[in-house]
Amino acid sequence: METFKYILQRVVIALIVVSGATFLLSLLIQLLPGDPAVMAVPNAMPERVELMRKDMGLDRGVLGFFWKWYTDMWQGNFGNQYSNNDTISVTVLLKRALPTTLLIILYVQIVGLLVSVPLGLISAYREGSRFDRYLQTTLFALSSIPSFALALILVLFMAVRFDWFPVLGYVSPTENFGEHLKGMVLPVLSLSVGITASYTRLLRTDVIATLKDDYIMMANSKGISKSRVLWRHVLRASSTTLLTSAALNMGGLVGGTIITEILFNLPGLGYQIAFAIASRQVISLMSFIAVTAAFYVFFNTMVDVIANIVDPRTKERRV
Amino acid sequence: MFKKFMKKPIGFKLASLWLFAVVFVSVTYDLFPYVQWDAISDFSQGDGPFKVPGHILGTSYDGMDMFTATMHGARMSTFVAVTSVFIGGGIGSLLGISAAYYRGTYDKVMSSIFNMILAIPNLVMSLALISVLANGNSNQPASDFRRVLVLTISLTIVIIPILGRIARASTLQWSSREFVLASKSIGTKNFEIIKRHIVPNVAPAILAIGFFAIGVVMIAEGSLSILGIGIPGGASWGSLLAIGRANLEYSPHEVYIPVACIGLTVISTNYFGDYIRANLDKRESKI
Repeated sequence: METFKYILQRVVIALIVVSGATFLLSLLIQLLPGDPAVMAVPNAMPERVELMRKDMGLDRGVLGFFWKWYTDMWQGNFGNQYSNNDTISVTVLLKRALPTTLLIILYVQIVGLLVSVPLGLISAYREGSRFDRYLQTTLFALSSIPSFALALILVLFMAVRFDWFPVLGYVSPTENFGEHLKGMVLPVLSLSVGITASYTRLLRTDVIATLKDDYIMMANSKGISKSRVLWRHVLRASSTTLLTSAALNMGGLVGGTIITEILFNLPGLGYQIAFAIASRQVISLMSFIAVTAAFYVFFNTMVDVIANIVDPRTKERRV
Repeated sequence: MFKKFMKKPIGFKLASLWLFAVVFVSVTYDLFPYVQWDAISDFSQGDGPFKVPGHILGTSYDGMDMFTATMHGARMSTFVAVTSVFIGGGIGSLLGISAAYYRGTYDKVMSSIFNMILAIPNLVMSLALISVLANGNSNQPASDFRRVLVLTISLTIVIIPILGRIARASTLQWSSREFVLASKSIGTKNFEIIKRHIVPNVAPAILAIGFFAIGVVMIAEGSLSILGIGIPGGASWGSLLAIGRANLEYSPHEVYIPVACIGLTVISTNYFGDYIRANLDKRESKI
């Protein structure tokens, strides 16, 4: 019962945060000098502008504008994106864009965890060795490099100079899975290097602490092989921070892939956000940002809730 | 002081040398008789570093001297980063410390506003802010000064909740300590307690995150330039990068020089952040 109440409380807070964030955004949009409808389609006829204003809810005042968008959103209607001779539903755009972004995030996480777990284990097991020290320095540098810097360098060397991987082109996985993976190599690599580095550093710290525990010594003295102790006993006990950070990253990456999507021309959510901003589509911008914020808050809440179920002491930890 | 410096680890030395060089160049740029940074060379276009005499770092595809442009870019990049972190950090710490010290409804409102802003990824947030504030329609684009101002303001707004939350968490830790209670019980005024007991203890944590924040702002500035709404015309590192991106195939040094500058600066500030935080943990464990 206690747990249920806690989950309910967290979900309510999450809803308030997302609603509040979009409300702040809608206030911001109202501050815009100029009419959002005119800006979306600069040379529209007055009648069309009138229709668009009605469609956006601009005729209802500051609060009415937000309320219309907000209530529509809960009914699955994310508003429209307008162009010179067309009106596209944002829901359609979202359906098209989200899978791409989610796939990128999925690949980045897989690569990050696959590389960082063995690296973290080995470097913690050999704490203080030359390998460990060099690795720590390298990882520190890698975790500080912005992903766009890596992306540009990768494009230069892998695509322009040697022509190993295609740039500029997204193939959907259902169309041709091999080509899809090939196109994803560079964007995923540029995003995952920094993440892998920070995962490895997190895991290393925890593993070092676990290795000093008595039961590890016990396991060692029972004669269990070193690799079995590391993989079965140590890893499980020290993976909490890593998994927490990975889950939090899921949310953060939804917004974090913007630059990568632009640099590699991937039609994901970030690409849509940038387009909405460039073409001054306030309604679709609000919807995209709401989705991004919802993802972020969802994963944050999930991490808190799961951590609470696993270990009830953590309730007050994350103030 | 020099002796003390020589005893520091090698990373500390490298990081401080690089940051010192960057700050030095940005402050003294006007005092040196460089050629004008955006002057176009007639005889060298797109040559790599160390290829043409007179252009140490080569020239851009348009014939801009990369060395001067990089020096000039350092000034704008540091200006934007330092200003927004300084102002944003100041406002953030003020809000965070007061929220954690006074608690109650004010604290609840403050921390939920922080959470709301943090729920929007910082790049998206600054994108949205810039597109609202620097509203130049295509007929009359906003002036350069206004764009720099708007960029700085939006990055400041991004920084406020990041540092505000740290300041709040750290103040919560300290304000429940015995010496604060003791000070309260002898009737010290709240403002005096914050000034004398809270701020000095909270400052290192804020400073550490402040260094990270400089990195965050530098990266955001670069990203915004790539998206085409940062500082225009190659006046900052991010802006040079954005121009160079178009010529990646022909003069790659145009991209990797600013990338290296941004990367090294971020690594250095992160190093300092880490360094301060590590020392902080050591101090904490002694208490």
